[in-house]
Amino acid sequence: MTSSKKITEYFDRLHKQVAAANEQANKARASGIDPNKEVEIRLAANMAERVEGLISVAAPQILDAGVKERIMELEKEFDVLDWRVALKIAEEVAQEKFCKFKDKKEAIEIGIRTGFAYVTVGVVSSPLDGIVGIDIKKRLDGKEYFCVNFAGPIRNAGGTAAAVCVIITDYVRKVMGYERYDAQPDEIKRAHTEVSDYHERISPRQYFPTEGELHFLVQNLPVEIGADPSETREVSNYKDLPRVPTNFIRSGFCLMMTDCIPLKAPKLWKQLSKWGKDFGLDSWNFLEEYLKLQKKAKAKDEEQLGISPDYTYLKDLVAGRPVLGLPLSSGAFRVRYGRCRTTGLSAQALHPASMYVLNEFIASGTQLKLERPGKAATIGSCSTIEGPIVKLRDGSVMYLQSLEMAQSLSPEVQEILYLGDILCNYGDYVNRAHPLVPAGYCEEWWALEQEKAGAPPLVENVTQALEVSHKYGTPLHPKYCYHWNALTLDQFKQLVEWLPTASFVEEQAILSLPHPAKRALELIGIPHRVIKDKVILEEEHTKSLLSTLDVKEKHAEIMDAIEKSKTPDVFTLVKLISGLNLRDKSGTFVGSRMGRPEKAKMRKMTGSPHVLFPVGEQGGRMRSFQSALTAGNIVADFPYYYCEKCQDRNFLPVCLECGDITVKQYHCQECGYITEPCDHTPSQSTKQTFPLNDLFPKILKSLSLVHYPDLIKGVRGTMNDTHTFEHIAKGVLRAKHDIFVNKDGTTRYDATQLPLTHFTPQEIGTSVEILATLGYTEDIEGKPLTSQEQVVEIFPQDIILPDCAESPDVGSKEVLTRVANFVDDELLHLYKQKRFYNLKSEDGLVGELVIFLAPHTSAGILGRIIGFSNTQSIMAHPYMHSATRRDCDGDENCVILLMDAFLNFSKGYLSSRRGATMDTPLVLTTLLIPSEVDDMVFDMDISWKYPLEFYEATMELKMPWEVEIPQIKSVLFKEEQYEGHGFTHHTDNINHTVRCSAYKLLPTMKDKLQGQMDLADKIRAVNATQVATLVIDKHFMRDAKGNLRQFSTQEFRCVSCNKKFRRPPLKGACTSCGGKLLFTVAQGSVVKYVEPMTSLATKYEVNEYLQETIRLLHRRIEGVFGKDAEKQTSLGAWFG
Amino acid sequence: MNETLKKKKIIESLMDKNTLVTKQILDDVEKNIDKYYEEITPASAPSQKHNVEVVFSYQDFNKKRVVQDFVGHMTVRFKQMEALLRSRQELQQLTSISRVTPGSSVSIIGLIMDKYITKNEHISLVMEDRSGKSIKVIITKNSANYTLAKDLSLDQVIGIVGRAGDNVIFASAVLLPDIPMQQQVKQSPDETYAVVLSDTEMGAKEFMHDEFQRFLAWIQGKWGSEEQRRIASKVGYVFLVGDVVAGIGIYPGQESEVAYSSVKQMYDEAALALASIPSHIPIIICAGNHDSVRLSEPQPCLDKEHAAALYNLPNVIMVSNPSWLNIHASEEFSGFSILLYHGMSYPYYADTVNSIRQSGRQASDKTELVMEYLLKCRHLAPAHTSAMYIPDPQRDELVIERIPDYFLSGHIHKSRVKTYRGVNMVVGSCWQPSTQFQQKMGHVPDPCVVPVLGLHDRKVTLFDFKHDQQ
Repeated sequence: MTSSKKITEYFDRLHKQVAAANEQANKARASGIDPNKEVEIRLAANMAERVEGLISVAAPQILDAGVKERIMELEKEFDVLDWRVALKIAEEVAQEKFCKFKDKKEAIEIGIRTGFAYVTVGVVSSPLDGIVGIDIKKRLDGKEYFCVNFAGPIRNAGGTAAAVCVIITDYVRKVMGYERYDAQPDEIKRAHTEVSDYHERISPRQYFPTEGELHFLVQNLPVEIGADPSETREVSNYKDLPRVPTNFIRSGFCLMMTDCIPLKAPKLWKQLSKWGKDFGLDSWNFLEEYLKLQKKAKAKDEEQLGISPDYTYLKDLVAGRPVLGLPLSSGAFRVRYGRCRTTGLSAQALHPASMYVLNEFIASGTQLKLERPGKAATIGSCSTIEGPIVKLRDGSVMYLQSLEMAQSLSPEVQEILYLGDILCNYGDYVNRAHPLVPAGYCEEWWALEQEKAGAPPLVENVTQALEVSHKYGTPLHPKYCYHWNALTLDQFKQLVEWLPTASFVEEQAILSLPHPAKRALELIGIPHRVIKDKVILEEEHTKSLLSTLDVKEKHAEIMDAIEKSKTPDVFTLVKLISGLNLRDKSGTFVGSRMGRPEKAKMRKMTGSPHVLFPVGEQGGRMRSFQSALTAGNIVADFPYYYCEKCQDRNFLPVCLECGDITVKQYHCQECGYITEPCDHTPSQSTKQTFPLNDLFPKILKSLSLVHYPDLIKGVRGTMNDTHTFEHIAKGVLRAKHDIFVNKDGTTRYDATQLPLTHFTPQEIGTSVEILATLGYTEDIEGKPLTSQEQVVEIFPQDIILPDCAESPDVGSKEVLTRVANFVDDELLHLYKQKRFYNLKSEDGLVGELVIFLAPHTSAGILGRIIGFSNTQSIMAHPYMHSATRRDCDGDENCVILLMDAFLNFSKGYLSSRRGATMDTPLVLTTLLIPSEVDDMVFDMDISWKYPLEFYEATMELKMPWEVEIPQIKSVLFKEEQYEGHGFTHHTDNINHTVRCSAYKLLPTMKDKLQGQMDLADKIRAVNATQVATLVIDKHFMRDAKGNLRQFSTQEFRCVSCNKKFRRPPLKGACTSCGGKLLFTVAQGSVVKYVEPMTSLATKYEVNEYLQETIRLLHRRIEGVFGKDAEKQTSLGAWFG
Repeated sequence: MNETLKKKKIIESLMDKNTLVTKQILDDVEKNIDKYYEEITPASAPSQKHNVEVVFSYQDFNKKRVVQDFVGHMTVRFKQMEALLRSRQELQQLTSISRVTPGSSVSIIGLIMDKYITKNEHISLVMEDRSGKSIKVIITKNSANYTLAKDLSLDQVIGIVGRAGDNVIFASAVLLPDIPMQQQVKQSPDETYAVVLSDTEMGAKEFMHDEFQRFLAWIQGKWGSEEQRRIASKVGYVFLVGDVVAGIGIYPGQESEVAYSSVKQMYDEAALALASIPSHIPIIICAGNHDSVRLSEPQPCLDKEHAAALYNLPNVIMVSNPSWLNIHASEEFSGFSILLYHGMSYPYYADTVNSIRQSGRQASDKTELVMEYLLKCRHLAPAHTSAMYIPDPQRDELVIERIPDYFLSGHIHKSRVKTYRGVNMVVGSCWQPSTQFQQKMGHVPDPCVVPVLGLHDRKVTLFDFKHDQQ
């Protein structure tokens, strides 16, 4: 691995720390209290180890059989992350070169899984859960072919990797001597029907291939793609096909046929055209023709693509999450290019004032769904971009350049004329393959032009700016440019007629009201004050406006030019008239809406248990030990244990009488109780009566506790096959420390992900002295780190955790401190070991290790806490996020305290259902190797500034790769892969922003909806009627109709035992316990939407068709429940 | 009734509708007393003029629906169906499920709770009855009723004869209520025809206006061959079995496919078209899923506010969906029993009943199989989830208690005709070209085809108005 001395020392330090923790955990676990006497998380230093560790869950014999060595060998032969490595390793595992399998089919399956695990860098659980298995089916001519069956978790692999999995399957098929798939006409037609059903009825996909494309694809695929039936809806046509086992829609199949193979076909062919021949993969040559077909289909769309409005982000609008701008709408977020130290890898930034002025709906960490460059982004804040321009109630227009200003003026804001900038980095445009869109004129662009012309890099005031522009011919400084294109020619004309009437006091222009051109002043975004009936322009803006538009001298000339203008392009007209070198300030506006709110919260499972121990029916409604103690015993499924010393059957892995480790037993009808499983498939557990009243005091005693917490909650029953459970003592201690357990025995803290490449000691609340002990000794300029304000580059595996006072949830500092104290208690009292953390204060966590893990994955990455921010995001190097195969588009990750995971995690607790290994730390990557993380981060740019050619390229809508900007991919395998990265925009303090979204603090849906509509009214780039229409159409109407339909065909459930009934039984009560039956869809959930829909529609005057739809729906609801039924549930009108 | 009383009633009704009664209106009422009075009197009035008796049309009732209504609904259905089944010879020695003793031979009537196929491909049912107890019923793969049992629907009420085991019955016979063979097929003494329309979906942009005008011209005796015109002159009844208008907000994206943004305007257009049908012919109309009443069955009559224009036609008779009529009765003839049902439950059975599903036919060509199936079940929508319904603990109006002569439907957009045990099952077509959506679903609609029923010979002829034959 290539790294500098500093980084190598850093890694050594981490390595030693993990090793020490692992050793102590192993010592503790040797006591036999847990299902396994060793730490169950496999440490993996590199990808090869990770792959092996992951696959060993399905096939334990693969461990240390030579696979990882072979992978590393192959990597030398080809390249790291090269698909050929996956093909070869899949082939060799399938041929049983490393170890034997049950049969040929299993060998093939494990082979494919191994290859697939390699392409997904051994991080996601898709190779385990995403592939159900391979079916070897018969062709019409009787020969055999492969069908690879996918399941839901395949989606976590990502489109490319999933598609490569099909290629791996095909390769294995070929080398193992099987035939190609012979798709039949009905199977081909079924594919299109199924995919379009999925697209229309279940969830729309990013890429929807045409019928012709799909038919061609299925006809030519060398292996059949199958999948589990995942939906409850059947395909609309082509059912009961002999070789397709289900008529239900298969999401796995649909994903493969949309976002995987078709969407990634160019990428696949790019590789296969190079070396496919060498691997005999001619079966994929059809891709070449397919791409032509796809191009033809795309050509139609592309004509409009250019930069036409894209409404995709508004498709699934929900009530309460505000729309912040319609597509390409003037006044929406202005595109600003660059990377702040808190953005990149799909995260973008707004000015803190913009966030505040949006009624605080957008906080640091909130997700925005964006028109371009596509998908979504988590929002960070950046104080060095432009803030919003607002109109106040008195008519004044202000540019809000700081958070404080926004805070003080917010109540006065009547209209948000311009939302301000949204900072998006070059790398994201590369990644989305989105053409660059014109940038609005901004300081950094101006500076580049000054530099090129040899002009001074700074101007102090407007006079100087004009002088410089005249002298060097460079464009006027952006501060003195306005949004001319927001005007129509008529509005411009009005303005030109109004300006000459100005009088001047101390070089300030004063204009009299009322005048229709006042709106023009607002629209171009020029700051001005209104006092009584006068408009006052500050000196600098008077000067810049009048030198741009010399209305006194050249009035006739200007009017003439307006008359003659053939286009409505006011900016070009102004440029022509002014004789100045001007650039368009507006550039491109992007539409957006709020997505998911930010989050930082301890995870609680349903029922929020403290321990994975069954309390059965005796636990009562609360599933508590207290209820069970009242009952005396617990009746539940328990495994068999036997204490050899006491010669007694036992319930716990450690005997409570003598403290000896007990022996696990099996029970066989023929052999009796045995310690090794016999051939008669003995049972491992049975329904037993656990004498809680007898044992609980002993447990308390062993923990040296006299009092125990008021509420200790267990689970109703264990979910795993063998009914493995946790020691009750862990629950007592967790309850004592007020933390909850997750399905795998660990305690999790979830939070939104944000990237961070540089920080200041001040903002993470860690002193320079402590940072020095962690290896931070220099700032970015190489100066010794002495002050709290210096900017420091973060080490690749360091993380900053959330600790937000404004959030309704407890911060991670407190939660993890509780976990650490719990772990220490557990070590001391349960395992009889010495404490591990010994925290004196909450700050003691700095320097401690955690596992950083993404949902849906099975491999975590080791992280080190270096501080806490006041936001609700987990901030870490983009590499860290990529190591969990995530980008920062609004998702969340979790952290687990390392010792908690080492001590308490066990696979034994996990259910055997598909997908159970998702979201568990089966493997822990200890060392972050950039080339082995998800390749999305390779696109991220790391330059200190973008070149002038870049800005020019944006004007020509060039593709991003036509301009070169240093990216991660250019430093891989070099020392610089870990350090010396740049960012283009600084921000004063990551905490200096909105830290908790109003969405989370508003108590009811009604409040949220009102907040959403208030913003729709305020933001110029949003049309409130359109928002109301969308909210009704996409949310209320859908839900109300769905619930009404469901009402009469609904399921019923028993109030006491929760048993579900497809329809009510004739008995009229629960057939198993006699309990009362309840609706699953109540009348209230149908009628609750009527009032908000009606009042929203009336207030915002939605179109007549929608109004009629609402009236008719209302009548239909009345037709079922009677007139005015909704009055019973609704509380007055939502909109007055 | 004298003029003053009539006037009083008219003004009362105007005020009920919140109409401001101005002098102008009073004057107008004065002049057109009869016209106004006709508007406010119930539309059932014409039924006396024509030979149509509404035997059953659902009267709506509004109340809060509670869980017990659903329970009561199932119970009342069970009772109604039990009465039909008791007439079966094989079910004379009935046992309650709670009294089934192992080893004995038993016959039970039960409601199907659950149905699945075992590993050995036997069919296993869970049946319950009013005792509140349930029992497993096994129909082995080789038994005589296996094919029949394979077709059973959830929540159907059936009879089982068999031998009891330990909490299980091994069935030797599975009995559906079915309808009896008819001794002789009824025929009207005079040559008269009835016409079946459905799914006119007026107000849709794609409504096949010219073709419908052709139909109207025919029924007025102005179009068609000499024979066709002769038949037109003998038409005595027109049925319009649901989906009179295209409706508003029925499915996503419908907005661009309709010509109006008000459902009333759609009914106005429908009334305008139907007014061309000679006024001596009664037009019997029920609602469908596109109409502006609630979807839960029984659907009440079209509402008087939106469909006012239809109510104003003197020869329109509004009925519920489903409904029962008796037509063409006279002193010497008892008339025909007609069952009208739009057909919302049909797609469910076309898809789930084994023999229908495996019939190898296209979705739109299965309707008569479904209708026959439902006649055998004696229920229009037995499975709980097959169609939306209103839980009524008094009566399950979807039970087919009588035996119709004609069973008329729509909904599938393609005319189908079949006779089962003397019952003519007839499906109307539609007046819209086929859409992409339908094609994808495997539906091939056949618009503008009108089944013409000869009441005297019980023959059904399909008249196609797609092309001008003149």
